[in-house]
Amino acid sequence: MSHIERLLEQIQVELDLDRATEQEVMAEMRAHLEETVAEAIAAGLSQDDAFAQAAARFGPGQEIGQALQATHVGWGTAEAVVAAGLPVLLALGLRWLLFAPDGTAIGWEQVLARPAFWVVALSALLIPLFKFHRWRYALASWGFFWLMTLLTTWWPALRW
Amino acid sequence: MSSIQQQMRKGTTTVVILKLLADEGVPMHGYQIIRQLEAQSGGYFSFKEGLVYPRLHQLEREGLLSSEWEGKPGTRRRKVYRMTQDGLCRLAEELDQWRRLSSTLNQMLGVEQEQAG
Repeated sequence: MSHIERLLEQIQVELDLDRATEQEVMAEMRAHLEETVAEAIAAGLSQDDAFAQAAARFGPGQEIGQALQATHVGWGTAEAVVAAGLPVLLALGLRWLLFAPDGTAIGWEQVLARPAFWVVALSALLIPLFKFHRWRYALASWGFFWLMTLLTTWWPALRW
Repeated sequence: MSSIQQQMRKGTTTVVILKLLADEGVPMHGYQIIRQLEAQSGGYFSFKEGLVYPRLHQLEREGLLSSEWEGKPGTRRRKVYRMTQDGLCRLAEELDQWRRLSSTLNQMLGVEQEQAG
């Protein structure tokens, strides 16, 4: 992996924005670095040296990523709320499909055979993942739901 | 670079970006802006280049700059920035404040008298 790719990766790790914004930000960073490399090569540097010089001039990826995230994060507040709330709502939907209001399992083997269950289960993961690019929320709520489901199935005494 | 230089540079980056775009009168991409600022300042404005982009994005967010992508898909594309009317107004305000600040500081520090003497 070149210095440039490593730097871009460091920046992207810090970003948690909507997909379009993140792609645009990364495209702009890449364009700048490619221009710097091209200029250095035209000035007589080897490709490796040009990559290294461009990365050094660009600055620390983590700091840049954090600054970009801080600049953009307020733009999609409503979207962020939906992205955080939707997996939770869908996880609650799954709970209602699997458990009675008192928390007892209502025949989970049968519920797993219902297409509606899997539609909701997959939506809980895939919608936030692809629509909002908020995979941390999606995976966290998904993981939490399944952990609780398994615990309650194995130990029915646990009610949630 | 001394601390006072760093603080001065941080505080003046916005106004020098706006001034550059106003003077050039044409849309410029980030790479051009950085190179021009370095050249015009004789190296005083020597940035960690990546840190200029959050500033540009902030100015765009505030409506002082607008941007668009140049170049056809498949070729090297660049995002270029141009001044908005709000940006021009803000620049005028910033320059006015800068004149007053520098005049006051020069007086307080006795810089003008030293230069005159």
